[in-house]
Amino acid sequence: MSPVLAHLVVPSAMLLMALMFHITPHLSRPEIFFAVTVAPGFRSSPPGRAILARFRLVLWLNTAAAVIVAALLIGRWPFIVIVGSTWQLVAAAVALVNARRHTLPYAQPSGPREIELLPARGLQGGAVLQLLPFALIGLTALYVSLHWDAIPDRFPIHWDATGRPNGWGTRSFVGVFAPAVISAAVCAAVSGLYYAIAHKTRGGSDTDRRMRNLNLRIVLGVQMLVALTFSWTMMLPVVPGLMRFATVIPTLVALFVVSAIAGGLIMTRRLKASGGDFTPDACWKGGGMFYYNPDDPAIFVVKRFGIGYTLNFGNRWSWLWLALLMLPGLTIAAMTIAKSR
Amino acid sequence: MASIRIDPSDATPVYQQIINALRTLLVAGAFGPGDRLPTVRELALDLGVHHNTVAEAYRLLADEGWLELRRRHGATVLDRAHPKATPETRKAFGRRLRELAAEAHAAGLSAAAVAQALRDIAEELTAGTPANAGRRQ
Repeated sequence: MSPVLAHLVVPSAMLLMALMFHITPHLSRPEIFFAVTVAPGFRSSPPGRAILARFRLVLWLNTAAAVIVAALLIGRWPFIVIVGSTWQLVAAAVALVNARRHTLPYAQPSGPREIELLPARGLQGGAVLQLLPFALIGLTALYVSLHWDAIPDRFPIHWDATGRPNGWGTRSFVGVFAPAVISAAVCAAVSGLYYAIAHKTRGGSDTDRRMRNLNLRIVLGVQMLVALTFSWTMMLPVVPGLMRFATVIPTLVALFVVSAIAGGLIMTRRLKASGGDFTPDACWKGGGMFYYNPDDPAIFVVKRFGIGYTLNFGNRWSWLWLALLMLPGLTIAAMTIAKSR
Repeated sequence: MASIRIDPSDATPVYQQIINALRTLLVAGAFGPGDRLPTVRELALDLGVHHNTVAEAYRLLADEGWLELRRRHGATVLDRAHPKATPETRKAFGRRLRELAAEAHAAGLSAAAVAQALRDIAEELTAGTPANAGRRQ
């Protein structure tokens, strides 16, 4: 990265992060304030406004200091980016914890819980839909193996931002089929996530079920994009002309991310207006970012800040899902390190 | 749509609240013989309570003759014969009702309002029994 770009990108990223923390307290339903159940009008009351103002003051003061230090020293010590970002994150986390501590004296008992008695679970057609990414990977691998002789001895497998190849593969089983193995492993791990969302999130109301189905669709979308990206990479040595469509996948990813965020925002707003997440205040830790409740069978619960779900760290299965989700990333990292030696 | 409501901040234990809510639905005919209730795990998940809390509620409802519990099949509603109330049952019910009426009166409800509420409940129960009016959805 050029020095000018670094001077622009790093502070912009840190300011974006601060902006995200700035709006975080607003991404909860009215009676939740810093992950504490309060009276609906509390956030606009004098103590509520004072707590919010103090949180934002600490956040922006630390961000300003971290940005200045990073901008001044990045030319000399590139690692200052990590120091600056960590400083900002730690300061924001401390500010959250303090804001929650100051809100707790105003906590109200959470209301009654009402659910519909419906045994139905999961996204309709989910099992069949889930086979699609695996089918795509399998069919691509089959096509490539049938055209083995058309594969050159050396072919590009990675490109820089300008589209210039910067990584090469060779015509061997690992060189050709590694994308299939990696993408299948990622999709299998994501299938585990699909199962956990389908069976271990609340579905007691229509909004709960819509939220769950939205998340299941997002998970399926991720699987399809992973399968598509790796299948495209696997096909390139056989059909080099595919390189002309290199912008299609990033465009699809961008569209997917935008629609997933928009859908998540809409559903979270609806969910948060629908009467609660059935999680006791005392079980939200770390300023309300982490949920720990061994008595709650849910693996995923709706976040008290932001959109989507978060893990219930009190459920031992959550740790298994977490390990499962991290496994492909750790495997790829280990393979990359092993290859570079 | 049959729904149940619990209040974790209430003095009544949660398992008892689940029993009361489900029994009310069963008496009103919201579920008929052969209908399946959500499994223990599903109901616990949706309510955000421990499995054992729901399992205890289902077990006690099964003891009362409302449900049949089978492993992996969840709870099935039974065709429960209407038992004839014994003098002891009537006496115990009268005592509980008197205590509840006194509590309502002390909280400001008039005797007429308490009586009207009881009449409404009795009408609901009569109208909701499968023998009279079919199942209420």
